[in-house]
Amino acid sequence: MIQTIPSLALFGLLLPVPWLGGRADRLTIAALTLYALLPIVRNTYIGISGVDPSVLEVATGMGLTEWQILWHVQIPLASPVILGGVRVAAVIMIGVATIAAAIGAGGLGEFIFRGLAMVDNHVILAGAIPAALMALAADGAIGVLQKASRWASPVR
Amino acid sequence: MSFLEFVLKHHVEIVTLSLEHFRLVLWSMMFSLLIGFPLGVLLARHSGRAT
Repeated sequence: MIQTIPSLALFGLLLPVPWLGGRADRLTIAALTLYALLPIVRNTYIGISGVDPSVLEVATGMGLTEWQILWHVQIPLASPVILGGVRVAAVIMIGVATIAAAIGAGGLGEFIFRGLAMVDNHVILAGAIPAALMALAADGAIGVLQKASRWASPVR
Repeated sequence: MSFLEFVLKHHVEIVTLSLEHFRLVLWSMMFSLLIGFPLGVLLARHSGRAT
């Protein structure tokens, strides 16, 4: 549901919150955390509940406890799906973090907002290009981890 | 002034703001993982028991 609130509006809505509203960086971290929750929770849920029931039956038959099944079977098998959620969340956060400059939290959005005020494309690009590169780098790095986790998982 | 000249002139500010941007994202990612991962596991286990 948080994802349906426009990011700039969410920053504004969090401003009056006592402890958060006092500092722009705290407020930004809270807003970005809320934005990233949906893909992480959803993918963790799908990954864990999507594990083949026959694998769980085998694990139970081997005498593993519920927690052992979770840590040694379900999480390793679900890790590519979970990392998929982390990947989406990272790209969303890097993009939304540019809006944090509107409330004085800094970041690359400062160049974007400054460029918009000055109507200067060079200044806008000085903020937009590094942000896009950062998103691509995060997507690539987590993608590599995702592939590695697929190869390392006990059942492929 | 070309874009490249602008970048060269303001490279320190670009790097500083990039690091600031990265710091905000890193902290947010840490908190969202700390909340989101256990929440997803709990929901999956709860729904697994319900079926």
